[in-house]
Amino acid sequence: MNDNEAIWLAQAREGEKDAFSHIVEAYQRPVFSLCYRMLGDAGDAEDAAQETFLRAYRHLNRYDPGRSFATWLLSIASHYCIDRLRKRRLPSFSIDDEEYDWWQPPDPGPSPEMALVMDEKQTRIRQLLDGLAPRDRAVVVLHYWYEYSYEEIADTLALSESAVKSRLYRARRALAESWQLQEAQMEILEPDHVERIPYETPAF
Amino acid sequence: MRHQPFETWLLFDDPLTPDQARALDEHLRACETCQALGHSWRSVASLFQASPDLEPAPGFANRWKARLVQEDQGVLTARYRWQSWITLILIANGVSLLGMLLGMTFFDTFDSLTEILLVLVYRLTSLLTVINIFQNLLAILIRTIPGLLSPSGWAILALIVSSGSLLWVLSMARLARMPGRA
Repeated sequence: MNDNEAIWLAQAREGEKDAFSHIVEAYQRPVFSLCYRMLGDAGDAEDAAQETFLRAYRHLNRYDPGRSFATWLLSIASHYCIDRLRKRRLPSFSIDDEEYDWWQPPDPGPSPEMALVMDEKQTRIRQLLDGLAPRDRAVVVLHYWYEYSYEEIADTLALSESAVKSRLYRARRALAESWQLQEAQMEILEPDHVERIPYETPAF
Repeated sequence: MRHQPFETWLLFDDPLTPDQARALDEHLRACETCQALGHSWRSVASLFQASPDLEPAPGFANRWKARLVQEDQGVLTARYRWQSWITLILIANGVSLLGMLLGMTFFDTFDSLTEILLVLVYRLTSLLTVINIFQNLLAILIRTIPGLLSPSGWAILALIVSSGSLLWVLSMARLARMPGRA
């Protein structure tokens, strides 16, 4: 965290919303990216990232300045996404849903840059990550996109280092197997493209 | 063929000793399953490494600020609603308790329904009598008061009262405009 960010953080602790919006500007990219990797959808990622910053703002007094602010923020984002993924697996209906929606900002949708990035590779990554349990997914995302050490991942996700290692091993194995499955499916589909029947008009 | 500990060595980050590396190399030459696993994992890792960070749509911080404001309003509305309900419940409880207390006192005092009805008729008659007395008193005052002053005296009195009222209204308006008063 640089000096400016430390000042903004101190001001935000005093209740200055504008100071915290500078923090939002500074950390929006890593938080959004984590949420996108976790949830696999731009709209959900936007909502989760916004919620992460709201929670951080509301609970700034719980932040220990001795810790990395980024780790604290990503910890909030990870736990929120894990909860959301768990809820997604248990479909539920709430009578508050309609009431909740009225104040939601309109879904801004993906930016043109985002649309470009959402290519085949992104789809493939999403499919691979979708096969993992929520917490394993968080471990993989923090390790590969944020280059977090086992210790930092353990700190972020409130796990022991040995649990992080075993989850990472399990996730890598599952990812390798999913990759093999994807490759096999593509091989099955490929001959269809190659051996496509040439166009013939019924008249002949 | 046994794939352990080779699978673990392939998928863990921990560096291997020269003996372990040699054993893994020999195993991979003979085992297609582990070869495929290693190859797949390396492909996944390189796909992850080649994938850039993602950015939200422009205006993310502004949307966050707007959401914060809206959420604050929502919290306030919920708090007011909650306070209103608490007040309503307290009032309802107070009224119920008072009703119960009065009811109990009322039924304790009287022995039968006839007695209650008689008392009610008596109270109603008394009330009507009091109203009648006040009505007569008012009629006497209306007939007597105009004779106390001459018409010009009434006009002077009306002028004094209206001037006093006007002065009071102007003073209050001036006080309200003074700095430091909302």
